[in-house]
Amino acid sequence: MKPNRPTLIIITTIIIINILHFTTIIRPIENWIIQILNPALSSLYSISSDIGVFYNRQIDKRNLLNEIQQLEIKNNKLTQKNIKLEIIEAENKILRKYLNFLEKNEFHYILSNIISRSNFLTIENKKYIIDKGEDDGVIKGLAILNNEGIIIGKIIKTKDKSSEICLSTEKNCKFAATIQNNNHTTGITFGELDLTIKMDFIPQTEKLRLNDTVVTSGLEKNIPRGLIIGKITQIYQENNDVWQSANIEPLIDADDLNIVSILLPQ
Amino acid sequence: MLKIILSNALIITIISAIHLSFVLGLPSFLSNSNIILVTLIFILIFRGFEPALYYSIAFGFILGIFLFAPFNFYIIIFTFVTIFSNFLLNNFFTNRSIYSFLSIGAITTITYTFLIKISQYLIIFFKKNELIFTFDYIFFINVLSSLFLNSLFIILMFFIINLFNKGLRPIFLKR
Repeated sequence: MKPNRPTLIIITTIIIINILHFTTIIRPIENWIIQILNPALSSLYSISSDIGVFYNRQIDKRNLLNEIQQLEIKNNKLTQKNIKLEIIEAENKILRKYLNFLEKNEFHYILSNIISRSNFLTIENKKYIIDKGEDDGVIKGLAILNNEGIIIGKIIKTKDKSSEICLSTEKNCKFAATIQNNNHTTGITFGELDLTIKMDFIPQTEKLRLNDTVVTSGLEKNIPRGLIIGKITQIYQENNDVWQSANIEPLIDADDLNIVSILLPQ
Repeated sequence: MLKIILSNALIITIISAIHLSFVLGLPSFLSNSNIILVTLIFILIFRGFEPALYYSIAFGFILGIFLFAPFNFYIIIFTFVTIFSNFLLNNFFTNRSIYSFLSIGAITTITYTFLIKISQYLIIFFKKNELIFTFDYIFFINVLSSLFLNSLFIILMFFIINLFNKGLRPIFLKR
């Protein structure tokens, strides 16, 4: 039996596309398409993200009034704290200048636009795609920050002109972390249900407190120490277990982001 | 000929761009709509099986170069969905009524979701990753929202096309 025309079309086209793709013959064309479309994708994502922000704001409006009252009280306390810290920071900067350490400790970063994200109808689940890739010096494992310097995820895959990032709230996105308590307890964080973060392998002997800040420990290559991951909201401690764990609330919602910064290797 | 190829390439690029950035960036369940699938159904019904195949391969190629799933997966999924929709169109929904459009749209959406889940399982199996999704109520809410949004989009497109093309009627008619 002879194969019909559509069957031949499918088979030959798929074979040709695969040969061209895997031998990287059409890589320049692919890169050109990505490069041409990236600005349009970035603008479209921005519009879409703004709609998302508006939608979320409407939903959150009811809770906002209560939160505002609580935040005002918190804000007053933080302002006092902030003034003290500003004085210390200013002193610190002067000292660093004297010691010529400023350049050494400043992070090198590049800004990048989010151009797409995946949902349950895409093969890769809960990932974001940004418009910077290997050509811009991006490599696997680099940290992704928001404009306040809070870590939101890391690079997991790269192409010439784009990269894929996983969020810290995703199960397979793990970070070596430290809790900002007296002992600087270390552990590993990973996402839970795409909403929160969990920190595991914390020895039972360590004393944890609610609202303790969790930061990166600096044990991972290319991820510096001290990047904020979130705050402890729940502690799980069982007498029979060797380890205890903690629930961490991320401080930002990645859905609201259009632009992120990628921390480049020092 | 070149004009036809370029205009089709432009349509494919615009729809892919809207799907990749605008639709997927929408909040909550709104991002579950799939304009590529709806476009494929309309191309299949109005322009035939062969053009629909070219469109499915082209959509798969664009998604393959932008997204980070293994390159062939989207090409194979879209091609399979087109072949299956063509089979439905030729054997079960032979008229051009809105009910046929909606039925094909619904079955295609479920088939596409099923193929995506199989692909995810395959990747997890070969990469030996931990299972990161389950068939819980969130999954079924997502499927329902996807069905609802795609149907809504089909109805909208149907009535827009119906304004210009009198070959369509929102009732059962023999082709």
